[in-house]
Amino acid sequence: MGRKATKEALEHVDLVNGTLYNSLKQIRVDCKGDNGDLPILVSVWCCQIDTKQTQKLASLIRDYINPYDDVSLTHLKRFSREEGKAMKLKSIICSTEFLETKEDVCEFIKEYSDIQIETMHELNVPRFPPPTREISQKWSSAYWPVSWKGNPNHQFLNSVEIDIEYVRNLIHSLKEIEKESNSISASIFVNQENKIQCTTKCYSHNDPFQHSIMQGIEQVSLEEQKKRKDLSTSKQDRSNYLCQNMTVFSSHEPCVMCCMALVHSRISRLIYLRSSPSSGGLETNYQLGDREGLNWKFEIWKWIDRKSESNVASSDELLSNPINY
Amino acid sequence: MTDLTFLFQEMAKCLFVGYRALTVNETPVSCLIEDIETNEILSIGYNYTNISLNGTKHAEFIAVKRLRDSNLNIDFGKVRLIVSVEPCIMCASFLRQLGIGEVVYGCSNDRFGGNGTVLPIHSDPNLPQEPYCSYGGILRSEAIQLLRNFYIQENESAPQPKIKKNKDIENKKFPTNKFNLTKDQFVEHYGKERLPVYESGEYEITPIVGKGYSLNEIISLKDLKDIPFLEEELGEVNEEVVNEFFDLFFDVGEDGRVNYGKTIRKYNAKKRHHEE
Ligand SMILES: [Zn+2]
Ligand SMILES: [Zn+2]
Repeated sequence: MGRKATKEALEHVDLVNGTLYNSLKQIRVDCKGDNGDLPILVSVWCCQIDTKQTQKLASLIRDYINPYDDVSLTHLKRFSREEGKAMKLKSIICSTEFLETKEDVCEFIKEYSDIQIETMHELNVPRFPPPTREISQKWSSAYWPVSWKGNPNHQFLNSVEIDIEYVRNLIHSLKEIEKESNSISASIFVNQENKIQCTTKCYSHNDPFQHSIMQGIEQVSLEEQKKRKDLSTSKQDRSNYLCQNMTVFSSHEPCVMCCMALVHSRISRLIYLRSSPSSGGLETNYQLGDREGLNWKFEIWKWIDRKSESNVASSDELLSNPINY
Repeated sequence: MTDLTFLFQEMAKCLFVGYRALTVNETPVSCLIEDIETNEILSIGYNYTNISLNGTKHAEFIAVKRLRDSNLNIDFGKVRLIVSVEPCIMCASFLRQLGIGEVVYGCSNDRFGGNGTVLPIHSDPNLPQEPYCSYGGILRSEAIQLLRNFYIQENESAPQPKIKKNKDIENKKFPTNKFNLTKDQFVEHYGKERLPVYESGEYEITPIVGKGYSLNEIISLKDLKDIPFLEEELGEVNEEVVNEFFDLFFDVGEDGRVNYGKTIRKYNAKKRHHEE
């Protein structure tokens, strides 16, 4: 049964369209490389060892490399047989981002183990898991043995935990706030326990300081500053990433500045209503928030609410002006 | 022949502000806002993310806010931003929305650079608002060295010995000098005679072609004391502090290469705390 569940979509999930409960559409880059001919590559250090060293190297990688290497290599088989060499294995140690030079790698291994490395060279391997089984086979023969664990985005969609009624309520509040305040845009910051941290409204997009997202991040930090002044707990064990587990509800696709501010603030999820043609930093430009190379990613969802598409939502869409600042 | 001494002086002041921000445990990224016509320094900014607990309080935001609070009708088209590190994607979008006149930066920002290194937010024709002019590479190696001082300090004060990855960052050579400019744009800002710097990537820009420099020849104690807002916010500027600052950097030789032979000091946060 477990096996079946991973292959098929859960009831509320539409894998083809990337939607949940017919209400939230996943906003992500179209994976053009999905035909599998040209995966994005990353450079790693590959070494040859005697098979006797396998255990030691596996634990070195598990304990001292995987938790610290920013480039995740878990979609690759870590060891591979050397053709024609019975007692030898090839292994991927780490990314060249983690350890830049051959000397760094040698010193690192010496410091944390007594493993004997025989040869070492740089190698390019696929950066991300393959989207289909066929592609995983192609990549395995062209680059390096790749594990097939199912389509990673399908797994992601099936694994998302979201309280859709709560989201629906907040979307409703957001629309109400906008209407009542006569603002051009608004946002609500919510923490892990679904507690509202702040609500912000924007009346003029010409002033970047007034954008609702920037205001929200500021308010969260001011609240926390107050708290920390009152409590004299040690600063050492507190994270400075205050928005790390928060969900941000926004009336619109945030601009490039605001999207990058959300990356810097390390939020975990963004849900928005309207696209911002030309100024937006997600579907419109760059897909910040779900972009390789930046040091943080967050889930991005657009509220589409197909259930009520024929009446409420579509008229809403028409009435509210898209932001174009 | 293009004499860049003025820009080097301004960038040296800017780096000094960043150096002083280290004393309040902020990342040494800093900027100055100047009147393009008079060259008067109107505002300064330095990273303020740690103290404010707000990851968006980059130097650019601090400097702009200070200026706008003092003059609501400021025309940003008439100011120049001198910034030690290429603005990140967020700040680049912020500056473009403000309509900044021009941006001159020290080193490029490999992880988040929004003026061409990661994304060209300053010039992308698909974005609303007018593009702005941006160029970098002034005191590039010094700007990198200043940042390294911060990371060395962070590693040393880490509570548990971290997994040491790339060791010895303090003694690493500087990365290839890359400009986010076309050849024509480069010539426009730096002059034809500097094209070898653009083409090889191995040399640094110098104030005067064919001459090396050392930071203490570019800027004086008085110049640094005259930076507005600095002493009030980050403490007295005296000869000792200024000499400590000069000692952090290598010199650049007349061939445009960094002279790694010079012994440089590194910033010592502990020592500073004892002194205070
Ligand atoms: Zn914005
Ligand atoms: Zn920035």
